[in-house]
Amino acid sequence: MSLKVKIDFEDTYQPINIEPDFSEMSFISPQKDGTNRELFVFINPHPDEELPNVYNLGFGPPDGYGGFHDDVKLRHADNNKVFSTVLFHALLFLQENPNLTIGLDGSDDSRATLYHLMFKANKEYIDDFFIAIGVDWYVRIFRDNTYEQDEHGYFIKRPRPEPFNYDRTRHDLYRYYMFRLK
Amino acid sequence: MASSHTGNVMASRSTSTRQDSLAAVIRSKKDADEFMAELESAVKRSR
Repeated sequence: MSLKVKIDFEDTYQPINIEPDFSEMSFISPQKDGTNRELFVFINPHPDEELPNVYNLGFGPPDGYGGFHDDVKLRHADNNKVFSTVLFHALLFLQENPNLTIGLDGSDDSRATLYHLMFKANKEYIDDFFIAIGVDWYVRIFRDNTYEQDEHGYFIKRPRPEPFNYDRTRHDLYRYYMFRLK
Repeated sequence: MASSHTGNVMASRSTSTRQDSLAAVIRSKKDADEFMAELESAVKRSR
């Protein structure tokens, strides 16, 4: 899949189903082999209950049990339109819930690269709709130059959000990506 | 199913067993409150 995605909210797939609160929707994505694949889009509360105003965005083909596969490699005929559709749905959700923040987990390099390049390549366009945030992990250094560790001796990683730095390249990815309504 | 740092199992619609990265580094309510405060600050700086 090409990592260059162009976002255009005027060019999206029509939803097949959409929840009234915009937490879920589905649409059909034509594939390069001529087939059609249904994709679910879910915007769910973050798994950590201590972050009630953070929601996760995920999408993928249905798993047959009401959920979706987020690790299936598909060959979409139009990647731009797929991601524009997913992001447009996120926009609708945030317009209904302007106090919430959506998180995108850059849990592996391919995902993080995709999110990073999507924000960078569409800065001017996305800037009209969203505020993009990048999150790095940091470890605290004490005055004696030791590092903050937990009871098992592992460094304690602390998340630090910042306004998305568009000068950072794909070789300097954030650990986690977030966005909020402008 | 995803687990939070407190061990509570939270329902996830994804079939993958991958734990959310942010959840893995939020160790307490204090961590969460600090993160949200810094997030608000970052949002304000972005405007």
